[in-house]
Amino acid sequence: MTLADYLPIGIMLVLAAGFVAVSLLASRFFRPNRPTPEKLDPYECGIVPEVEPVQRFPVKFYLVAMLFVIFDVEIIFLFAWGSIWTELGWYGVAAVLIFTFFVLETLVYVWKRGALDWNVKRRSRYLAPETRRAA
Amino acid sequence: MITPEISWLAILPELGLALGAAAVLLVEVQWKPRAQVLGMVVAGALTIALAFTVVQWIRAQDAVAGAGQLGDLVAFSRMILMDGFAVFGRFALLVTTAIGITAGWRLIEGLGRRRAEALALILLASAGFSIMVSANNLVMVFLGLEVGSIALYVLAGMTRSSSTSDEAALKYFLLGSFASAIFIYGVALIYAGTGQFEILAIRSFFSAFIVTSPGVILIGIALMIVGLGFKVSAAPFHAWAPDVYQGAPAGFVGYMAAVAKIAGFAAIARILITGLGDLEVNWLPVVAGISALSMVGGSLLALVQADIRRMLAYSSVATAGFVMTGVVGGATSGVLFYVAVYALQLVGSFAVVAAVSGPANSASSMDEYQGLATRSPGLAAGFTILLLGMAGLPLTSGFVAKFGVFSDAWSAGYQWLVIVAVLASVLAFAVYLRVVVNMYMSDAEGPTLEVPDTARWVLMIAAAATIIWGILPGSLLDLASSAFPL
Amino acid sequence: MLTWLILLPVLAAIIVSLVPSRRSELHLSLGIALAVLPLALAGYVFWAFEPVSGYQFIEDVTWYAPWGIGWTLGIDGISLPMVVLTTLLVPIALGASTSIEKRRKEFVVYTLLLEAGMIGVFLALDLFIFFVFFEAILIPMYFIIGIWGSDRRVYAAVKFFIYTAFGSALMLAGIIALAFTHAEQFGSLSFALSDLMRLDLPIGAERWLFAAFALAFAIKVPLFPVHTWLPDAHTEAPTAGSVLLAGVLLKLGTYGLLRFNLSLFPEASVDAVWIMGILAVVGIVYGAVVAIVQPDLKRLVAYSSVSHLGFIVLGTFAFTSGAMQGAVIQNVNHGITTGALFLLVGMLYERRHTKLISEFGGIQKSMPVFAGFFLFMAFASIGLPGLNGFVGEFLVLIGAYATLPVLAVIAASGVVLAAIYLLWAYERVFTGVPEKPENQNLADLSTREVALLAPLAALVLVIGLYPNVLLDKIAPSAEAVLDHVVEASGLVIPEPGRLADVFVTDGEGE
Repeated sequence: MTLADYLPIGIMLVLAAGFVAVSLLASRFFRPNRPTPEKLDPYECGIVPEVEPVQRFPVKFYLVAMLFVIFDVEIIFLFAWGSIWTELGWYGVAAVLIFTFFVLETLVYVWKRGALDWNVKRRSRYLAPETRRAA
Repeated sequence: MITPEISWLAILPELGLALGAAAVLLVEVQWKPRAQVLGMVVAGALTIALAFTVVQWIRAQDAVAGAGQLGDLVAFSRMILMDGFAVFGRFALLVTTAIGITAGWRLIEGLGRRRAEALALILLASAGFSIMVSANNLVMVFLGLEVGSIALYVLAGMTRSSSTSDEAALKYFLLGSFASAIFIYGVALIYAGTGQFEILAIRSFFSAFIVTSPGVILIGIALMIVGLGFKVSAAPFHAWAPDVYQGAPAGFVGYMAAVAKIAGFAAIARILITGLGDLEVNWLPVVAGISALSMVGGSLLALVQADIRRMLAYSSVATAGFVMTGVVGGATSGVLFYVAVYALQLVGSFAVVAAVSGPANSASSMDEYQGLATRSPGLAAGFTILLLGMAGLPLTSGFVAKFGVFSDAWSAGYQWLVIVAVLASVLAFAVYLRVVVNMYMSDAEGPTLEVPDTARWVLMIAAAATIIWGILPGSLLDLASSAFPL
Repeated sequence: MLTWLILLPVLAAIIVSLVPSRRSELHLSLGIALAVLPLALAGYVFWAFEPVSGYQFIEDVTWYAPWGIGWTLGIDGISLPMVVLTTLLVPIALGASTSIEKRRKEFVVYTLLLEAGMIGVFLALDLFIFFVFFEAILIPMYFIIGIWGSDRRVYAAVKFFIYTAFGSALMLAGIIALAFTHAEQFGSLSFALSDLMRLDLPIGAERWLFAAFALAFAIKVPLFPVHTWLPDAHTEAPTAGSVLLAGVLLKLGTYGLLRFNLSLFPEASVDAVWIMGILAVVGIVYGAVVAIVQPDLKRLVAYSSVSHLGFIVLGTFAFTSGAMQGAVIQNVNHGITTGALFLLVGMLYERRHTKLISEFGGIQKSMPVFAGFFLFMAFASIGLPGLNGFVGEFLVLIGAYATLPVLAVIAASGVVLAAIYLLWAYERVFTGVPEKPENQNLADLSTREVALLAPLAALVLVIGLYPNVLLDKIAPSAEAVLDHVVEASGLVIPEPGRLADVFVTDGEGE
């Protein structure tokens, strides 16, 4: 490969950077700019905020979101298999069964551990059975 | 669409490990059993995996001897290889895993209900690294690397109450994922240059064509070396090692370091020697430089450490350099032998560290080893054998290993590297002797140390292996030299 | 046979280590009793050894075929006396260690392992196993100095280890290079000495390899200027450690020069005559001069070793029959006399817990037997005719005079200096009026201590009066080494440098 072969990539790079720069600059010059105090306030349902916005929210949201992403993404593999499963034959069946087993096994584990339980207290009980027995 | 040729045997060990991991988790949530029960499940999975590995080995040797065909050793659309090299590496990984779990058993027991997660993570890490040593496709190498590494990141942070453990885990994760990204970028560039992901196909590509302007390929090779160099903690990509070795729970560090080294070096050897052998003019000087820097820098830095885990970390940097001389030598058998014996020594050493300063503890000052010979003579004697083995003194397997890789490098024309290596070995002597001095030559008295039985067993096995393969290395050397890659 | 010579001490070490730690009274006596077995075996080998050149009792077992490593053992006139000396000194050194209370079992075990390693070095005819033993002996010696030494023991032990390991590291590279040269020239890797001697090395490579080997051995000897580890190691080591260090370990260096450097690199050896000769002579004079001013008795003996070993190196590189035989026999002599001197210093130290010469004075009144032994060994060390030191140094000087007259003359001054430092030390320690009260009532030697010294004293006399008991067995092997050097390098040795010259003139005279 010679350097000339890289030319399309270079042009693409320049175009991409140029697009960003042009659109930012264009909006800067063409948009009206008349700030008022109300406009500079953070927007919250049209009401002037009285307290600082909440910085942290419960970790269980993360947990659920993460679990959702994991199971959601794994379904994509099933889609790929489903589109050609007749050609893959028994090998495909075996492979997808192994795959599904691991997905379901994870679900069972997560469920039994209480990760799907919205009540944090009940969920954390699993980790400390000794203390519960003592109490 | 062609149905891929299937050889389930090629992945049965990994499948066994993964199913074992699943079984541990399910058993845990269903019955909440005692730790021993989980241990038995894990032992079962490891035994099954080892048994399949032995079958694979026989198959691989038959194929080479002509009873079968070499094509049988390529499976899953050329994704996975079942050659002697892969099987040897996998066997070493499995044995290291078994010993590593035994060494960390007290820590695992202490984890309470999270112990099943630790066990499952260990099994999954081993499965991932096992895929890595047997992968023929660079993307598959990356997949195995990530499965293994991610499990290790979590293991590093397993003792959540300790802030150093958290720090170690985060550091390991950030730097590790960075290195993985660099590696996959290198793979991408190799693909850009050759149109191939498969190591064997890359080899045929380079033996068939001469690339006149290999710029992109060279950058790709360099990035892959950086990424894998990080995984085996070779200088100058070693900065994470001391913090992680020190911060991660002692019960796991030995295992973590050992399996990462085995898999990393297997991948380096396969990619560089097998895949890119025709380009060695380009990468040999780089690898030789990394090797020299690791040996000298690692040993020098290890000399000045006050914490034994940091010292072991830097000495493992030096060891990475020593193993690299084998890569420079171009003979995979030397590399395999070295990492196999070193893995045992590393796990054994950290079993001692865990016994002396507590399995979950993070600090383990050199002073704690003062007078260990009187506080626990067996522990001190076993540790001494391992240290001498890592130093590479004669009559230990470490010497045979070093001798092998140095000879390879010498015959490859890298005489200067061998001379640097033997001089760095002297530095390494000084490093390990410091610990021995602390254990034996100090009059400090202390209470007798209580050593868990599991640690005793691990130490005994590791020390015995170090001595036996030091005196009669033939058995393992023969295996390693018949374990060549396709 | 020879394998057993190595295995017996190992087995003895295992047996001793199996004795429970609390039975501490058993360890030492059991160790001594078991250490007599290799001595008996070595005695048999000595008796059965035919006085001809070449190796005898050869054992050759393949160890790891793909690397060409063999368990190859053999003994010739050069290694034979060293093996006997080693097996003799070990029980004596153990017998002198009754004052060791701390961790006695380990001490006995390390000493026996050290013995196995030392014998292994002398017997090995395969460079790989030679290196294994050469390096392996560092470990027990390191522990012996580091655990049972005096105040600065850790410093001395680490210094000893690192110095010698540094030297042998480069030798390892040299060994690898030789094996691969063999693979290039003969098609297979080999570490056997006999195979490697057939190599045709380019002179440049030969010089580098000579340097790598010579550095390893020079550090061990120790030659000036790499001798600085020795005084520390000797001073800090326990008595048994000093005895074995001086008696055997230092000889590994001179033995290695003679066995490996001359045989493997004859041309480079001939080229290096002046370098090695000058270093040897500098060592002789420097060691002696420094010994004169030592305030510490043990350090004095240590520096005298530097001086005496210079003679051996000079003899080795003089390339005449006499000098070479002198070098071999001086190996033995130095082991006996310096070993005995270290024993004596150790016994004195046990009584007074100091080695400073200024602390003593006039103790021959209370310790006449001790003083007698000390004077006897001092005379042997100086080289008084009729005692063993004379034979060796005389042969070396006469032999060296034929080829290196200037160096021989300077070296001769070492004998005079030896008289100065030893006799002056004797005067300050033993003669005069005992002024310090501690020196007035010192106990004289016990029966045990006399029994330890007596065999050494007997050997001093036997070798001094009838050196042929050794020379007969040494001469053919020494001649063979010279023949090899002459043949390989075309060196012309002036008359009467060779034994043949001497015998012809003798025959004409009769």
